[in-house]
Amino acid sequence: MAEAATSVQEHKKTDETALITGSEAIAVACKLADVDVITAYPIRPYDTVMQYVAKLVANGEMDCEYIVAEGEHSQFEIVKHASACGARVFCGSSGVGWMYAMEALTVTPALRIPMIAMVGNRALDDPGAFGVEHNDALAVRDLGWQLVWVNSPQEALDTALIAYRVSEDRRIFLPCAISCDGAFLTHSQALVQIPAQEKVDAFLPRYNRADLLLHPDNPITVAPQGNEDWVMEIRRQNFAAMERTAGVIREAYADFERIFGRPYGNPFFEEYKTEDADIVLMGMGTLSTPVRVAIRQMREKGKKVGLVRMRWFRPFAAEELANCLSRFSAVGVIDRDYSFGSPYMGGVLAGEVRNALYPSPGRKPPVLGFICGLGGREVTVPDVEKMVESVYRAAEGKSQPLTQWVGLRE
Amino acid sequence: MATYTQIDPTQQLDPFKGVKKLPLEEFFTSGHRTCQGCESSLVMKMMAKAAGPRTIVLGSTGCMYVANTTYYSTSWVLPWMHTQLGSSGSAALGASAALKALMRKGKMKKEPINVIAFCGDGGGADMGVGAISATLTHPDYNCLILCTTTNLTPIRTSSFRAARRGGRTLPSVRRET
Repeated sequence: MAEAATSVQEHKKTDETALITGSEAIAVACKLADVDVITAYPIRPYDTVMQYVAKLVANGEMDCEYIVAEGEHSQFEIVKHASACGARVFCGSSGVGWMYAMEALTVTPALRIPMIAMVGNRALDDPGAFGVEHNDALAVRDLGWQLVWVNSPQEALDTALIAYRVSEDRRIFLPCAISCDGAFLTHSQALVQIPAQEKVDAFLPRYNRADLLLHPDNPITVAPQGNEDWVMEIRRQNFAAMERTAGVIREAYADFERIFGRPYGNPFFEEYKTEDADIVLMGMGTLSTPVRVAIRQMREKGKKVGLVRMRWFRPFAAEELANCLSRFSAVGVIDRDYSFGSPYMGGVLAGEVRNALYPSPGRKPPVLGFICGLGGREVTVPDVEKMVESVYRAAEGKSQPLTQWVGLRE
Repeated sequence: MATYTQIDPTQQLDPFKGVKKLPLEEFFTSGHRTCQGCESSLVMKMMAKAAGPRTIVLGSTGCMYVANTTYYSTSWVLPWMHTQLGSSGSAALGASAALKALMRKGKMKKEPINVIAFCGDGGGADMGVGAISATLTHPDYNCLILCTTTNLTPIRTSSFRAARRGGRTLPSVRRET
């Protein structure tokens, strides 16, 4: 017996390396975070997470209530109430499933529920497509959800742990959606360092709902009718919580680096080969992989191109990003989403970047928007080269269309 | 053979027979805006007395939400939480699942706590029927879903869907809409 106990303790202290998909990495993070209630409802590509979680529960590796709901609306409502009662929760969805839960998604941040959801990004119907598009997760961008995009299974695992730490911070209590590109991340394997349980326990305190706990010992009334009397003050509290997120995220990344020894640098966006870059491309999620390949090839030809990959979309690090972009002579934003009828008919990220730059006191480089890779279409190296050409022309002061569709059959 | 999951122990409370034998202690008390004799709020008041103090109440959107909880005042002595119109079933399931998980894992004191979701016609029939049917497929959670009907009483609030025609409205009932 003593020997077995020792080996379990040793196991808790050592990191492991495993070849797993992005979805599996999220499921492993749920296990490490000791999540109490998980709800599921199948929709591709999110459903891979529910499969891996079900496997962990069935194998006895994870102790949680695992509930398969009858639809996404119920799925999110179940965890919302479970979280109000003090349970650490996890759920997720994709594409139209995420939209089906929209009512529940609206009330979750308003109720200050620190729910962690995984969005396996998927194109919205119709026409049906399993491939990635970011419009599903972006639909909640104004509601108080923290939104983060990851681009590797390792980052998915780490970000899930960080998301629990940030969301369940008493200063925040807001939900967080971790966006994983459908297929490119949810179904692609990579080597992942799975941290030891001991390190996770040192990083992630227990969820404590404190004075907001719904329990007979704390008989509070949650979410009564506010109307014009109080709604504005309550919205302002949510605003203040979102305002505090940036600082808490920074704290969490610093602690993460200290405990796990894996540095992420700037939590909000990642810069790749930007030190000497003339122009940069921007994007979110896994499209950074082909862009990096293209950048390496173009640099061999003497074109100094860099990449700024946004991780956190909400909160949006506007000032920092504007500072960063002021170093370049032009910026090309690749959107794997659309926003029909928006200013200059561009994608969502392009609009946000222009928005971030406008009040900036520094240099404001021209921003070109590219809509690319919709419905899961691959973003190829020739696509990226085409974008870079156009961004270079804009840098030279030549007039370029503000929004271009790239990789489109015309 | 179907296998039945063991249900966690429920509270053992003294039964009372007849309205006049109701205990005096109130768990749903003043601070609400319903009329004297309002059938739904009477049901709620008596339900709370029968369930006792170790109870969590979840109320789906409806006239019992609009009329009974106005921010900065509450008529609930018990913990109460609003749930969306179509989610009385999900709310009951979520709360009872959380209690079960937390008590099993030793994160909360072990004791039977009643979870009661309270809904009207909209939350109990039309929009809520899917979530309620799904909750009924989980016999391993302790929860109760209570639906009051406003169909048979001459209510005049017309504030919500229950006062209008719904899926449970009987053919002979007169509604305002």
